[in-house]
Amino acid sequence: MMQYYNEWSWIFQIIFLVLFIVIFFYNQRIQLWMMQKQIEVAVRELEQMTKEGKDVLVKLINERGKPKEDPRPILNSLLDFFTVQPVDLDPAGIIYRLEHILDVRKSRWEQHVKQIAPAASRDVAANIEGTIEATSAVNMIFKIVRHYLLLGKKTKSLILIMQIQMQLPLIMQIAKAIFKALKSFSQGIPIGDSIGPLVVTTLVHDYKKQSPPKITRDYTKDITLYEMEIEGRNVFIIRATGPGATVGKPGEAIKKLVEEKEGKIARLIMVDAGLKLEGEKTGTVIEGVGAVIGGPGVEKYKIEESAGVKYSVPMDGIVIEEGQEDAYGTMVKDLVKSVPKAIEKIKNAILTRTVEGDNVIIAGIGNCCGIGD
Amino acid sequence: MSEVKYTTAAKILKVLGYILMMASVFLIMIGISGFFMGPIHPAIDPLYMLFSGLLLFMASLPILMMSQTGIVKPEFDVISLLRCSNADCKFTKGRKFEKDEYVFKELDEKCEKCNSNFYIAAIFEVERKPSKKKEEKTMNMKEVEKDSKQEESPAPKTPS
Ligand SMILES: [Zn+2]
Repeated sequence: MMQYYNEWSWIFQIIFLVLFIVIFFYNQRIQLWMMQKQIEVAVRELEQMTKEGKDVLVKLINERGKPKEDPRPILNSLLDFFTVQPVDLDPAGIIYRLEHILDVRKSRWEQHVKQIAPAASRDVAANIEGTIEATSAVNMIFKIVRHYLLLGKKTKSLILIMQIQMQLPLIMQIAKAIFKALKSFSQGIPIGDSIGPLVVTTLVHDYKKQSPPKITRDYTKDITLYEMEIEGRNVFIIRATGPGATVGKPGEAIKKLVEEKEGKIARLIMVDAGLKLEGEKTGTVIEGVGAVIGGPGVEKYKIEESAGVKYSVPMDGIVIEEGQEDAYGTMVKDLVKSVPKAIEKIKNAILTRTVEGDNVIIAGIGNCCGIGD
Repeated sequence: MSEVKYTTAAKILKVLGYILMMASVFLIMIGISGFFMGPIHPAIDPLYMLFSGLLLFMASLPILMMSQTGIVKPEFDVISLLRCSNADCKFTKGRKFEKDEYVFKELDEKCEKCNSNFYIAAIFEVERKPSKKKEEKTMNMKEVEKDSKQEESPAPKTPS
């Protein structure tokens, strides 16, 4: 009996030795292979998202834009559209060079959208533009992840594969959020970033019975200005023109307004969505000072330069905290619930930091998708 | 948002799969140790243990894979929150978002209480509850209404 098992134990010893050697020398390869598989699954998902995004886009354009030709070729070229950043070796005046490039980009996109969707109204055209932008962002993520996967496979480089694999959960979270934004834009549903305009427009609606606002559409391009009286102050409310997915140039509008009033502005209050830290609650309203506005920095610079440095207007910031996935994704209930709280803060700022008869600017920063006036 | 949810059947399958896998590993270990140190009991053949362990292990894999298909993808409903345009009434109700609606759009729908027109006060999404579709959906709506009533913005003070 014992003999029989001893014979077998030989074989097992050899098997274990082989396994040991294999794991000793090839464990990294095995790990690499497992990571590769994970990335491959993600790449397939991203590819699916891109494809679905394009389908949504083509359907939207065919439905609302009544294109004369097949929109696909132009769409494909728009998805790969690039913008070259200005040289920063000599940073003097870089903001205006950047602005110029962004302006050219914007007008090119508008032109292309007009070409593929001639029948679309201004709002629908803005939504189409937003949808294309979101699709191109998903497409970009797909291409970058695929690039690193293929490069890692080709070079068998653990570091390339590992980098992507470790960041994969974050990358996929952002991709999924942008994909949701894509769907929201295509239907004209507000996204999390629309909270700024929603807050200021709700404020307008709260006071419009007592003081009907004077509305100037296209005060500057894609920016609407409301002039009204709130708690005895002359309030100028600035936001992008909705309900299309526009952001406009709020900095430009604030600069123009401050200059028109020759700096006689008691307070500039800006409302925007801000990134929360993990663990904080979505929809928390916090306060601070400074120009609260995201983006490439052009608009922020204009506000700081004109309202800030030239006329030293005090700037208050009210930020509604949300996660990245909420900011890109469809607006959630917690954000809607934060609107009254943010309005309370604005009222408080007006009542405590200005006196009656003062000029006050309130700017709601963000994408106006689905927020009418 | 990113948390993975399973259906009850998938949860049971997953637990079953893991139990099978653990049992199989245990059997394989007993089997292998039998070859080195002799069987722990004369009636237990290590070879038999080893093969049954391997078989169980093979069986646990498809069960675990099957449980993965039971992942519930969260579905969302987009809700339009309607508010009565009569400032004294402020009746609110939630219903499904319809095409071409946007926030602050004036609607033709009339308020049930005072017959003023509704406008859209907000548009947002809520997660759809998975089971018992119809009942749950109306429940969900009621919840939305209740919440929105509680969270009403304070009426602006009339200027003195
Ligand atoms: Zn009513």
